[in-house]
Amino acid sequence: MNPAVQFERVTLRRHGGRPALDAVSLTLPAGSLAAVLGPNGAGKSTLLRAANGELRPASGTVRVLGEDAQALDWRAAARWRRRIGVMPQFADHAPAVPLTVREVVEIGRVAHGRRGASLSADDRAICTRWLERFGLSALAERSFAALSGGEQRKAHLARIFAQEPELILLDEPAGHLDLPAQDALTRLIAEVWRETRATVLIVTHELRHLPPDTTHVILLADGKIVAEGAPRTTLTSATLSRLFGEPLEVFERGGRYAAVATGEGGGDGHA
Amino acid sequence: MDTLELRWWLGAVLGGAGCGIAGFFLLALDLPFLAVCLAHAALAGAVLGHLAGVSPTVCAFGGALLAAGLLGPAADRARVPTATLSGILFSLSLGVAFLGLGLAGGGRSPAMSLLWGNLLLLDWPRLAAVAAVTLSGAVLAAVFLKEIKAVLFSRAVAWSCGLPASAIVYALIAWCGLAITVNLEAVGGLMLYSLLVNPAAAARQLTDRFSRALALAAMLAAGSAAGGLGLALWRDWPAGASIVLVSSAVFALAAAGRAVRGNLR
Repeated sequence: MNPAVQFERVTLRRHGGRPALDAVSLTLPAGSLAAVLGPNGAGKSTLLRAANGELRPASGTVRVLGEDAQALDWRAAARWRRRIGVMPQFADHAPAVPLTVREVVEIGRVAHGRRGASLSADDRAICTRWLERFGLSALAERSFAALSGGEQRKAHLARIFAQEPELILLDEPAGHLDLPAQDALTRLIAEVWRETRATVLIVTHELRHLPPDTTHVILLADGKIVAEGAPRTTLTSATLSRLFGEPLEVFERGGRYAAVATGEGGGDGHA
Repeated sequence: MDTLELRWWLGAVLGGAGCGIAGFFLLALDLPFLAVCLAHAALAGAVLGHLAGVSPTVCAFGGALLAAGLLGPAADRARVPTATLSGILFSLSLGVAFLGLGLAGGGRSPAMSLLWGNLLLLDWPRLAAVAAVTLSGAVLAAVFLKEIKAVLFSRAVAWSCGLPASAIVYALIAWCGLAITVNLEAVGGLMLYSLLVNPAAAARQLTDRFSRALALAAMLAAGSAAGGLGLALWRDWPAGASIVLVSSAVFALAAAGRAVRGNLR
């Protein structure tokens, strides 16, 4: 089976400065639930945007779902993007555009149909199913802008899964939510991954945002991979202390991880 | 009603509807200033065309298209925020337009009608152009509704789903430039902004549904233009200024209505 994501010595510079990714090589098998963890500015979002074909590497090759996006013509690239569901870090939307929650979820099906044709009954049924799965049925006809931050994230996830992608890229999906909402969303991502077995790649700087069942962890600092592998071998107190630059103690319970700072000063006290 | 009056009313309703659709798109792109920028680029083109003895309408469209090109693909490539570039282009267009008006004889120039507009000078060929552009906008909005919704909601999300998001945005801006151009002589470069922004903003006060807001923007703009024409004929006022007053009143009423509805809940 082809790997879902493959980086071969990828170097990527932002605005001509120091490398945001520095000779990064990684391979994610299809069906994995992977997480990229690292401090702010480590290059996590850049890695995700390179995987999405949004950023062109200065050197090296990125192959995602068997394709090098930079080598595809625009039609092939559009077809390839339909196979990838993306939640950007700041899922920006224009507040002046009045869409209902259902209409936002339907965006996931728009590129599947013929241009200019209405969504098919099958497409609408798929959206209804994902609205139900994410507990949004009662909110389907509400204005998306009126939802809470957590509900908006769920609507974006429903949109992504309605797209029926083979690869899902999530940038800080639980960021800026309160603790119960972070926890609920993280568990929901794990549940839906178990149901669909799509490859999921999550980027986060919060250890507790790693879903249970995470199969693969990549630790990134200064654009370089510091460690990668199974959570049990990578998410150790020693490795994470090195990664975040302060003494940390890591706890694990039921596949979920958390860390607290054990030294004096510096950092925000958790990861 | 004679054919001359019929032409005025048709021009007001059809031109207004086109401006309403264009205004909805520009507000949804979160670029209301882009409307005034395109309007003034068209004005500058028309004034230069008038000076050079070339069709002002053709030159106005050239100006709007050039501005649309600079505000779309060029802004993306240069990584300059569209809002910033709109401000620069707006001041440049206004400078070029006023320079042209000065060279053409200042306040006595017939080119002044481009600034203030004159709905009463709309002839049948221009009316046909206004009708064709408005109809094309309505048809495009109806046929590509789901694609337009996706792109206006979030260009990044639409692109990531496999839609040609940038091409759709550039096409929308170019169509807005066309709608602005064909309405320039009737409404005037300075007044057009109110007909683009006020009805679309009023529609958003009245509904939280995309399709309804788009249709309402077209209807309120058509109503504002017709109401403004009626006011102008009744009071013997300039048509462009009357349209501004009516469209502003429409927005004020819609905003007040929303505030009252909010208090009653």
